[in-house]
Amino acid sequence: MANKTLENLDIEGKSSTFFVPAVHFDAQTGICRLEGESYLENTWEFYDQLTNWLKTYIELRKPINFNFKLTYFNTSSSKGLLDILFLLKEYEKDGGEVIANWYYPADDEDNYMEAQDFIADSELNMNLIAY
Amino acid sequence: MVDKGFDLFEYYKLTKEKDVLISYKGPITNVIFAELSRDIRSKFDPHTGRKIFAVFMELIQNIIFYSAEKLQFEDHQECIGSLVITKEPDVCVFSCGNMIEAAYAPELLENCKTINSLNKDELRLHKRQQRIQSSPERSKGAGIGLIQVALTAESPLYVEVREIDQQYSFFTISVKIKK
Repeated sequence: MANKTLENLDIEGKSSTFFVPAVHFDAQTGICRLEGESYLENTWEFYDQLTNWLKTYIELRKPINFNFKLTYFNTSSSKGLLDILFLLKEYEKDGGEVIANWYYPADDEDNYMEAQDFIADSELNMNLIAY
Repeated sequence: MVDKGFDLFEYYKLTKEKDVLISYKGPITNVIFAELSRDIRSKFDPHTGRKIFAVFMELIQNIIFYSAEKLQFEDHQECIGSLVITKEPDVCVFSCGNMIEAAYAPELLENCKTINSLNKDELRLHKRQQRIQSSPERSKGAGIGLIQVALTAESPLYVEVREIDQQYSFFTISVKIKK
């Protein structure tokens, strides 16, 4: 099989009319970060971009270290986040090396609760880390 | 004064009497929306601000997704909705209203009734089930906005549907958030 080349995925975070979370997916190290606030003009398109990148990365069979650090996301975005978690879980089941960390503000119990529900839905064992 | 027209003083008195913080009726554009939401968030301590912000965002998105009344601009259209925020001693009350297709009313009322009958853990489960079931084609959102509002606000949804004519009704939803 020919070697696939995969570029890093970098999207600058923005907080203007819409809130775009910052995306830093590193194709070499497998360290992926999704940070900030997520309320988007076209939620599906945005999250498809991320899941498409992940699908290609997963084909490389390299370890992945995924880090969520989101302070706000609307319910539409939560659906996109769940799609990411499903992908990671599927990769893990398939023998992939997956570490997932979820960072939440220590005083934000709603955020913590969301993370717990994401774990329950995806069955992916995320580390919940207060900051 | 030539013609009474719209009586702003009466409007002012009413909003004053009811302790209205913000009152808006018109097109819900993204610009107005973003400015208002950030403004509101910054007026409270971080904990309350986060809750108020999350509830505000979902209620506004609900108007954008479901309002049956649109205003046509040159190259796009915007949804019309009403938003009122009032303050009471311990709570802020968010009220949103918009026209809906009358045919949606029974389902909407039923959904809210279900939400109000559930405790916190049941709401979380209900939200998870609805999120898994929702498909992108069905609506623009995940179909769980109102469940999220009840969860975040930790209080019931007060909803009302008033008939306008055979085709349209006016839908209002109010929710209280502790300050």
